[in-house]
Amino acid sequence: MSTLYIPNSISLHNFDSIFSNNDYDFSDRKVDITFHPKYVAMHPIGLAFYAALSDHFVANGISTTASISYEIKSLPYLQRMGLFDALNYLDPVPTKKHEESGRFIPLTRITSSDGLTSFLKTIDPILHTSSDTSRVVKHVFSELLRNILEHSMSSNGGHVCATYNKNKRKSSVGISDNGRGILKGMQGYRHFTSHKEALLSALTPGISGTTKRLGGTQENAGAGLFFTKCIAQSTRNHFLIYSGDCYFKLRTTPKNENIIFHPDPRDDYARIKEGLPYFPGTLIGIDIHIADTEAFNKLIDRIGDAYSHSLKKMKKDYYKRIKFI
Amino acid sequence: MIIKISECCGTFAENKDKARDLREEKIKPAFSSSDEKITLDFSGVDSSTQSFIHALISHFFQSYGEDALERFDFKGCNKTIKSLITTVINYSLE
Repeated sequence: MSTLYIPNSISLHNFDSIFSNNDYDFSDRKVDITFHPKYVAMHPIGLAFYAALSDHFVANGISTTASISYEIKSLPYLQRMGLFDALNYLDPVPTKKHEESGRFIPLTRITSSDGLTSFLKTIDPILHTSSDTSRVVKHVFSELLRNILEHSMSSNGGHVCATYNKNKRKSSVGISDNGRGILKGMQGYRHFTSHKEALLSALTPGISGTTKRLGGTQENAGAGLFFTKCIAQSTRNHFLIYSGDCYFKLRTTPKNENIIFHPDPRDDYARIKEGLPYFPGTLIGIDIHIADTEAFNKLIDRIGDAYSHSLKKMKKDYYKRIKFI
Repeated sequence: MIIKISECCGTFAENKDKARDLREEKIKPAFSSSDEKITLDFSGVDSSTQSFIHALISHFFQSYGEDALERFDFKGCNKTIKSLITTVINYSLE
């Protein structure tokens, strides 16, 4: 029987803990899920990861068994965030619904465009935010979840969850799907030889999986992931995207360094890792730390300038791609 | 012609399907049938996304260039909406 070990800490900073003591080989179609016996601290990206993995198990007829220690102090958090439900298990401890006093969005499945619109309307009451303070979070939710609905070909939509720390004015978001992944999504009009190549192209402004044309189509600009990455970068936060056997992890820009929105993600202060266990869909985690409207407006202007500049440069570089043989 | 965005898209205009419908069913026919100004009224819209604004207007600036600037008025925009519209028009004209 295969095993899936859920470690004691999963964050964007130490995301690699998700691979510890796991080979993610589920070829015998039976998985025993175990948890760290004392404590499980989990960023929303961890919750989104296991929710998508659970979809993968169901879609591929993989059965699971699970055991958990009642001594895990974070059980109520994991339960309220919907982890056990996503894994298709009953909640291990009883909790009263009225104890859920907010500042978090539990794992929620989004399956349609209208469903996403309805979900976005519920954010302010749940996170105890106002339309001003949740503007950036909503922007990120909309861009990333619409990507799933449009490009992932996932038969059961995507997962989203988030926490909001009012004192730090910081939201942590996890989003996932069990769809076709970035490589297959990007391959319609371009040829990529690896998940890494496709993932880095998806982060490059102006490159869309829906057309060969730089700058995208009338439907897609090829800018959503670039904007999202820049939003994290602007406040020196992490952003991680994992698909296939590769992840790109934006690290926090040191405080003594200026923030530059690089069109080529390889120029970012980031870690790119490939040869990882195969993740069929797409997983994204982001920390966001913008609450005031003015900062967001300036940010959109700056990201837009970076996008335009990049597009201009890429188009001018056409001559380099003319093949004289 | 005046198109009130909040009537179909609410206070957070992000649904690209709605943007596409507006573009195909209302804006494109008006744009091609006369020289009439098209006013996109964002009164009551608190925020939007780059993708929504792109789906709504980028086609006209990519296809007709700066001439499209003469055809559109953007009414009732707050700073966020102004930033997004300016961004999309800028890169669409590149």
